[in-house]
Amino acid sequence: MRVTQQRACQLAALGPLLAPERHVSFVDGLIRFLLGGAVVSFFAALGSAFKPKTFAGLFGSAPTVALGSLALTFGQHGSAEVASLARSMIIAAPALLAYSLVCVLVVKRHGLPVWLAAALAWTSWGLVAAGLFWSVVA
Amino acid sequence: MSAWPEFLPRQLLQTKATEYLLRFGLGGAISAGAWVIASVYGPRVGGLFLAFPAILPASLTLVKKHDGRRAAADDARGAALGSLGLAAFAFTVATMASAGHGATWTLLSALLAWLIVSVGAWCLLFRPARSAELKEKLTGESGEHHHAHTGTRNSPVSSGRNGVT
Repeated sequence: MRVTQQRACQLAALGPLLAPERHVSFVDGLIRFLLGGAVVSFFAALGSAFKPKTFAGLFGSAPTVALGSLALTFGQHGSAEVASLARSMIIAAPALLAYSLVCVLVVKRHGLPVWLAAALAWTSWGLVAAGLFWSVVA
Repeated sequence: MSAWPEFLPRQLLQTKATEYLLRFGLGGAISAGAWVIASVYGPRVGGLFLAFPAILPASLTLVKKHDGRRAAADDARGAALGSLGLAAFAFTVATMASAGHGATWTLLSALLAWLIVSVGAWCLLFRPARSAELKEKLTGESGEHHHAHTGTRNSPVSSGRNGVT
């Protein structure tokens, strides 16, 4: 009986993965990969051509992933879904701020392994994004 | 202190093809990943990943390699300011899309909002230090003050200061 309950809980947690809200097609994913990669490369190149570095850094937070994704979502699912995505994006902006500030601190530390610096920065993004999501949206 | 921004296209040639490929791959993977998450868990969760750092990780690694730690820290400081612009972008999209505006106007307006807020914040915090020059004009406490030959050159400024105060 207990084993069955555990299995049910596991399946409930995996629910969205087993039955996603909508069909995930390979071609759609490929288009988003190519478009996202192109927009990110363009903004990264634009930023690298600017001096000083504090100004070039502005392009490091450019809405590159959002630009391509929102353009495609407008066409596929309409403006209501775009508004919903953008509202969550507002919540995640402080997470990007936290990520950048942690980067400022760790990049100056000599002897800190790259993997640890990266892990600290990603963790800060995840914690702030999750914290704000649960407190504001959920 | 920062100087006014300069656009130097020749710096594009300093970036290797493999480094551009790295950025393309990372950016593409994050875009596709954000879409998969939005499809699986819905737009409220997926929207979080539209603010996922796509450029910064690769940029910082490359800047640190080419220009050193201080330059990489400056790059990250700029990115921190840019996150304010990102919030302005998202707010503009949320407002205009809710009002039923089309994709082109919404995204162009949001990009403009990102640019204005990011560059505006940069100008407030990192604009070139004219403070030394202003300080010289307003207080007469110039670094050149100690040099005897600058005495005559500073005299009009000093008289201006006296006029002000």
